[in-house]
Amino acid sequence: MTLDPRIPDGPLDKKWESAKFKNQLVNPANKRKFDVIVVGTGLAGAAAAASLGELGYNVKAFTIHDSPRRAHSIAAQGGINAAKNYQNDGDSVHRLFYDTVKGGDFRSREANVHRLAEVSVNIIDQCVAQGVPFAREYGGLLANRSFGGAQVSRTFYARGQTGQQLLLGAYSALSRQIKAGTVTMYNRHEMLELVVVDGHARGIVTRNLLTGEISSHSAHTVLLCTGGYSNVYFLSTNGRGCNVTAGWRCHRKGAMFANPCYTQIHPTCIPQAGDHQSKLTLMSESLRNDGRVWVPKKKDETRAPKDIPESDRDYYLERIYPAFGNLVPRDIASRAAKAVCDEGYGLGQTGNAVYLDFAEAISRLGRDAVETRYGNLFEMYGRISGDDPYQTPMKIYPAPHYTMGGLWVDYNLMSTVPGLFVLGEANFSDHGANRLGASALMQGLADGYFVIPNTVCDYLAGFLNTTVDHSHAAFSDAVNDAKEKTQKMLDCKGKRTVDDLHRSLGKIMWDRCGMTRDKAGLAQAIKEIPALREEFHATVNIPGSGKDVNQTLERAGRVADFFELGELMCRDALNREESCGGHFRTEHQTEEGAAKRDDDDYMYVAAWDYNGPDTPQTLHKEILEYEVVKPSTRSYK
Amino acid sequence: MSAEAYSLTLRIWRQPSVNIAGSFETHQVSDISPHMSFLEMLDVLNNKLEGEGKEPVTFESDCREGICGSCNLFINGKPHGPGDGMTTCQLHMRSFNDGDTITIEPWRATGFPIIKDLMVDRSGFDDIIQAGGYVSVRTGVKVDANSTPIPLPQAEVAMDAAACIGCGACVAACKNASAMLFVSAKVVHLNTLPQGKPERLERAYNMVQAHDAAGFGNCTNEGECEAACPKQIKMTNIAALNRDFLIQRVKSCFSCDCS
Amino acid sequence: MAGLVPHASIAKKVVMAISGVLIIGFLLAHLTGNLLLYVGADAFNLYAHKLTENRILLYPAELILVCIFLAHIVMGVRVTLENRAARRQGYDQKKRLGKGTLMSKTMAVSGTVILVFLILHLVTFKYGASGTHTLANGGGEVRDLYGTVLLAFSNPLYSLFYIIAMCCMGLHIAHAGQSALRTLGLSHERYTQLAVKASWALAIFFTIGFCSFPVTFGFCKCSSSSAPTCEVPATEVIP
Repeated sequence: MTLDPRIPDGPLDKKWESAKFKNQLVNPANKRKFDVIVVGTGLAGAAAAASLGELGYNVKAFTIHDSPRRAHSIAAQGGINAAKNYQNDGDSVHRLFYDTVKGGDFRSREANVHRLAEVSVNIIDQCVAQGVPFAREYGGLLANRSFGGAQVSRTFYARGQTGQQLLLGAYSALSRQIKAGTVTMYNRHEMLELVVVDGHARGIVTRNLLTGEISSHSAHTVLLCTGGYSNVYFLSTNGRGCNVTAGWRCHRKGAMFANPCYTQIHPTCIPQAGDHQSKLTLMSESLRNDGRVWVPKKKDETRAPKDIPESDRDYYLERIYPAFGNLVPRDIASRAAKAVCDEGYGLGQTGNAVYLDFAEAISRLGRDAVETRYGNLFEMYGRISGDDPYQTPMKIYPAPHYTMGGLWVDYNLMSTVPGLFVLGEANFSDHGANRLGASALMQGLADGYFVIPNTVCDYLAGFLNTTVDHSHAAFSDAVNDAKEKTQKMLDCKGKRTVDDLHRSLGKIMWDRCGMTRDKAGLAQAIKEIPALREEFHATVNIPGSGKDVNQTLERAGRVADFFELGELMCRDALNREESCGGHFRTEHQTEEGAAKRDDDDYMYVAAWDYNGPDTPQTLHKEILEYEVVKPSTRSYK
Repeated sequence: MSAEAYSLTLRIWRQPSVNIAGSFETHQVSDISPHMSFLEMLDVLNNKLEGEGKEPVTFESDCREGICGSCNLFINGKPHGPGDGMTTCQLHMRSFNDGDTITIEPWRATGFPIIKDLMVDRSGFDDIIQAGGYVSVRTGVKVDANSTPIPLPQAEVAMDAAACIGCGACVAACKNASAMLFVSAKVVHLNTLPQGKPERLERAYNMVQAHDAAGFGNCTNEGECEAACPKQIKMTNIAALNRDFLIQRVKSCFSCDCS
Repeated sequence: MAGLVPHASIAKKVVMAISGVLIIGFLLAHLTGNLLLYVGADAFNLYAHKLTENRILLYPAELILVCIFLAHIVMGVRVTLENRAARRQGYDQKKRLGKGTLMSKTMAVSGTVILVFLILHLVTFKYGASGTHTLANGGGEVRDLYGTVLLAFSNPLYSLFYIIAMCCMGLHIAHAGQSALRTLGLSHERYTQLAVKASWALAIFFTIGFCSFPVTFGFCKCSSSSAPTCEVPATEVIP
């Protein structure tokens, strides 16, 4: 099978315009004849459901949460990029496009990224019109801040809770459509299967998380907006409910999974405090503007940080990267922290923490100025750690955060299963091997508000006046499959708990397929994970029944999929004999320890095709062609 | 870092479903680190129960960093437990002492029926938002974001109100189980901004109607909600909501489409 | 006017707030009139007579007053019942979070006490039996309400209940004043403390004002034809 990304012809900056013109349309009277299923109602899903409902389609939207407002998009802090150039600092659509491609270490699809940069400006207009309370200057105009990987100020923000405000904006637009009757909302429903009829995605199977009822829903097309899979590591900055299940079940039905090994480890998170930790909390990247990162020069240092003299401190980022210092990109800062900790200089009982010190900033700017800039972050840190960061340096450590990989999609965001579209973090397309700060919100909303309304019609136009036969055997078969799998897990009644097994998987993933990877470790993991997966299915213990709320059962189903995904991630990482962005193979580094890309052999998207539970996936390649940007080596020294 | 470990007695409300009466169940947990979050302490209990083949305690949480509004425990007589301006997931065990007995209840309100144990149904909040918690604007609006300057103080008032996470602590704390603080936060957020002005009065009226229909009580200006709010939303929002509501009512009396 | 039929929760509260404010206005007039008790039987009885003399004005005024009170009471009862229904099962443990006050939590209780008082008050003074009083300077004979007051307060239990009811009214007003302002949308963070203080001032003013009557005429047994002195009145009143 060849992967056709269906990139429109013509010059890069005219492709989206031409695609919008060439795509077939569905006239307003016909739109209501089409049923559209949207799975997941975070930024991408809520925006898509609201926009399509408003256009006249019959939308059914599903979320595992009690309300669309709980989606984990809400936790994004920093901001959203847009090439508005309100600051007159030389920004443009082209510059945003370029920065994003470079930030992705030249592993993303040019045409998609350019479209993202183009619609970024519309997103801000849209959100302001919705009443999103972005930060403003005294003159009443929108304020911007700068963010990593860019030399211009193009990030729009709403205090430290931009994701929340954007999600509430999308949620309000969705609520308006629910009220109008164009969207039917299914809260607390989890997608368990994709229904494929004659090769086309025609519905889904869901479990009602309150009643346990497993049933099917039909539609002319299915949109997957189900976020990322960092919870494969057990400990990550993701919400507890984030999972890969919807995406993975589609993968099993033929949707190829692209670049699963591209994961982003965020450098500034609050370190793990003990074995009972349930998740990790991210602290905005902006802290590195004024905080200095260091570790003691002596191993097993017992002195309090304030008693350690300057001469005994190693400001390793400033030492290794004198030009960028503490402001090197995320992947580099994360790896450096891991390196010093691996050498034994890490702090605390776990040895997995480094200092982020504001003493110099406080003496230079004064406590008040530091409080104005970072007050809410300091408060959050104090609450979690119990330490006062004004008095003693923060302790930080990298944590799994965002996943650039996801289901493969073409330019129209359609997967390899016709009729199945994938939006937002759940797809793979825009961030290459590393995502820049403030661009996840941008992509989710771009896909939902502006891309999908202009591309889904091209697919649907081919099915005018056709009805989806809900009595087709594919629906009942899928329902039975889902019931069987659920019952099998419930019947196991073994000895180990779901969390316990998930932690074991997370440890393998973090050790072997985390910040740094190597051949031997990955090969080892590919042996360990299936064994653990078998243990899971043989020994997992799920109390209760499947007939009412059963949170253990919900988690078990998700963890079962993480086992299969984890194995694929390792296979992908093993296959990719180069280092790029978030993927760092120790065998492939420069003499200074920087990532060494291999553009000749690996400038492709690795898309994996499912072959059954115990057979490795088949690799398909989408060769990336750079017409405009010339790939270069990233250097931050 | 201290290596101390707490032993605690937990009195937890267990209830199989809304129609079956609930009761308190007592559990002992030990080896609890003061650095654990409250929910991680409950994870320990649930892991223990699961290991014994017993049904774990059902409670909600997602982001575990105080922004999604999922977690909602009534701990020792207060929504989200001891401490001001924080959610349950931000509460850490260092706020308690070794040997403490902790009482954990669900939000109790007719508008929040209990689903199971500590999990309640907060869909009434969705109904309220659907009644008018939006600006009626189409996707793809062609108005430049900077075409309407908004004075900074006004933007700040909107943002303060918009910080609401929809957790329902206001309802849980209110002696009347009223959700007026929630309604007012959304109304003030949108009504303060020029974009929300055209629908200002109808929004206030419709959202209050939805509030009442959802089974929440009347506001009697007690201020418990403000004290319990993890995002410190102010009661002055309720007065502003009342004002808009009143103007709408008076105006509707003098308009011909009065029903 | 259908728009003002109070079915929405805020509308009910608005009705309570407006009727409450009107009642405070009535109380102010009532207290001012009652102060004539200190002037003497002649002045007070003449005032009472004039007030009730013109039936064409009296009945509509009474009707309006009844409507105001009824609106306040009916809405109060409705709001209270609805609020009870909004939480059928209470908490096992519930802390006060520092914002709620004794007054705010007991509005229904204080309101009920005031209602009982109001009924008793009407029975005693409006519809109660009175002797006749001959006005000085040949003003003719009028109902001796002054005597009725003295007689009522001569019963220490009645006086005590009167004082308790007035204290309840004070507590009721102390919360009601600021609450009404909020309900009517007139609250602002800058003036919150001012509103609280003003409510208290109003509450104390009325409580002291009304309580002074049972204290003066009941417990101190003061009465006079011109100014209060501590003497038993010369002419004993017969109901």
